[in-house]
Amino acid sequence: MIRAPLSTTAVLDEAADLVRATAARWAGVLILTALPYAFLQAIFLDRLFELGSKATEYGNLLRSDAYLTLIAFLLALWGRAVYARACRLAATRGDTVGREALRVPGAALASYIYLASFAAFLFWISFFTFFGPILAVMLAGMAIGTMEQNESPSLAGPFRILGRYGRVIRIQTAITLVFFVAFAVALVNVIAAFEAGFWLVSSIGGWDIPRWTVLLSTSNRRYVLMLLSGAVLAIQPFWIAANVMLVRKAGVQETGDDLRVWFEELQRTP
Amino acid sequence: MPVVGWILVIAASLLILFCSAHVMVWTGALLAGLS
Repeated sequence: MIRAPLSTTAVLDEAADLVRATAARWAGVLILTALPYAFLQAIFLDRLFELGSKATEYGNLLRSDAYLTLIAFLLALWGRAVYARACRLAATRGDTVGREALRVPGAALASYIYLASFAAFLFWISFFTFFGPILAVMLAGMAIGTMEQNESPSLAGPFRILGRYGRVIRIQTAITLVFFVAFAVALVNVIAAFEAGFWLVSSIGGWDIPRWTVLLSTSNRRYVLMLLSGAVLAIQPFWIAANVMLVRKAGVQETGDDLRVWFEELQRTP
Repeated sequence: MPVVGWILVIAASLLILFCSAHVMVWTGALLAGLS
């Protein structure tokens, strides 16, 4: 599946093919494992806004919510690792992937959890700096892309591997910006899906329509947070596939494997 | 050596996650206070 030279459009184009090849089973695993994290994050934020300026007086409650959220984060990371492996296998074979996607090497998973935890820490500590969270999202993307290159667990190893891909930072920045736009588009689609679903259900009857009108309105903060989480979940398979493809394309260009694959494809062409 | 690597990576991940939970609460409380 290495067809075009390394560029933002080529990465996004081939990532879409990967999502198609892995959607049937593995995108489902990714979304199911990400759901508890998304819900708990939304509940944490909802509670924060509910408490407002009194939030500092409820440290224990918020801390217990944060711990639960981070436990769910570990499950979400496992789901992302499985999906990234499925993408990598699909890209290598150009075919659908079976249960071997579940066999994520332990060292790769541990290194990924380590880097992704660091990215989460960077995200929250630099939240008010604007560029910090963007950098954290990029780091998390490269962490999932390079995950399977970690063959033994080490503290410096994952960062050393990331450093090797420093030259693709421009493409990674462009991809991240594209995904910020994709998030807005996904949000509009998720809102439209809920509105359409509610409109269809309201025509059937037997529902407490006034109650659901209040629950599914933008004045309900928890509903708005769920919509935002839904948009993140919708773009997540594409984001992971794009990062796996970016690392793969950058890697094969470095080793010359892109030429080998190109010759093989030419030979196969009747 | 791999055993040491495993212990270090797991310990570092847990420590970073623990610190993340605290930073998340501090940032969140600041954000809630500002809004």
